[in-house]
Amino acid sequence: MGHGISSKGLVLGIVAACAAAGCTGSEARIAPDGTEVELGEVSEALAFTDQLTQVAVRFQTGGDDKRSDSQVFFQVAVNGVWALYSAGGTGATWPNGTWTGFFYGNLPAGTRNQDISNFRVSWQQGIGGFILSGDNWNMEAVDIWVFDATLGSWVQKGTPIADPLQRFTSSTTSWVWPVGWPL
Amino acid sequence: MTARWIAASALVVGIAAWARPDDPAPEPGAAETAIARGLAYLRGDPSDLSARIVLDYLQRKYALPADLAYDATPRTDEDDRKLRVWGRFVGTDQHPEQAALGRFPDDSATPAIEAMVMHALYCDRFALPAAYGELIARLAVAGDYELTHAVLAMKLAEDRGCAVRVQGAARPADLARQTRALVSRAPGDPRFEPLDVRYEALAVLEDFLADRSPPGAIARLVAEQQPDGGWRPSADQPSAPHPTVMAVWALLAWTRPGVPEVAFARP
Repeated sequence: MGHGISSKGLVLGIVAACAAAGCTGSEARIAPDGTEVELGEVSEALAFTDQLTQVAVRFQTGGDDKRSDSQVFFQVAVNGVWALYSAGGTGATWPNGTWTGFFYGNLPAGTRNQDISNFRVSWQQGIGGFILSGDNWNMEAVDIWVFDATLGSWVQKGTPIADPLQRFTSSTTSWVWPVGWPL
Repeated sequence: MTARWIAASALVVGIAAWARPDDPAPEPGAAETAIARGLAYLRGDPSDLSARIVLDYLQRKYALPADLAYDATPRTDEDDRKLRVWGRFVGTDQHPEQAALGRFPDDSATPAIEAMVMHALYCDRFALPAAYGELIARLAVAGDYELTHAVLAMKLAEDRGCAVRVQGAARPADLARQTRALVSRAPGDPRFEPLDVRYEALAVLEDFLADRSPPGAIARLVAEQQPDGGWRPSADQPSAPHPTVMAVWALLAWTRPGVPEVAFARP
């Protein structure tokens, strides 16, 4: 069961949310206190009952790029059910050592902070092509934000980083946040 | 005495043919041994259809043993699906619809490199778009495997006698310059360097672009051969047919520079 991210309504929602949070373009890095959050930091914990409406995620590649025939998904466990969101589908190459833009997803209606238990990234390897083997890629970091409707702003939930955080191959196609969703 | 002089001269000539000036080449014979071991690896693992198709080209061009020519077996359902388009590489043209070759976007977006290669393969049947050369240039600038495949696409179009208005980065000299740079590129992280892309770049540089590999590149390639005779796609992966056939191709082209051209796809 998934929740699509490409509807016109969602786009308008993102624009409205960004306007409310004072962010520009796809860069939403302003914490609730108005300071810019450095990567690797985790924002102040939210209240259990805060209403979360959207999730925004971006990825940093490491020493191996993601090729255009494979695709990345991110998932949020809400009340025990993994909501699935696409990180752009196929067609885009993510070069070595770069950040993607943000990918957005609508959380199920009524989601509270306490309803979320974890976050994961999954990857679907492409079938390759002529003299083009199936892709592998390295995820160096993933930057995870939510829109807190109670606060009316985007809040960074965390930016796990490692070298690499996960190497995706034909036999390793998902990464689960080891610490779980920080409440 | 005369016989000894002739033998010595032959040895010198043989070594000279191996060692190009300023190129820290592998030991004489090392490349031939690596080729033989690589071919043995490929004989033992026919699982990669595109590797078998490349091997078919190498067999024709370099007069390799006949058992290395493309054989329709073994074949999986996935191979059957791919052969609907790829079959023309090996003389089993299934006359696919144009749509099966991949799409050129309606807007100005760059198409997938696979579509560019497949359209070149069938360019005598379906005319290439006027902007094909510009699209090749764009993919060449993207570098990496898109560059090496752009070089392949140009070779296929030339084989079929299709005119491509080359410009900018798609000019042969520019393709060669960019491919040499790709071969020489320092990997961001050596643990995960896409070795297969470097081998592919070496192969098309030496063969299609008839250019010289950067100094030391061939010796490095030979040194990276694995005990099983194959080459790895990256340092953390086991040997596989794709990087192996690319490495063998590069070595064949480097050791046999004067061999006449043949079409990449069977007539």
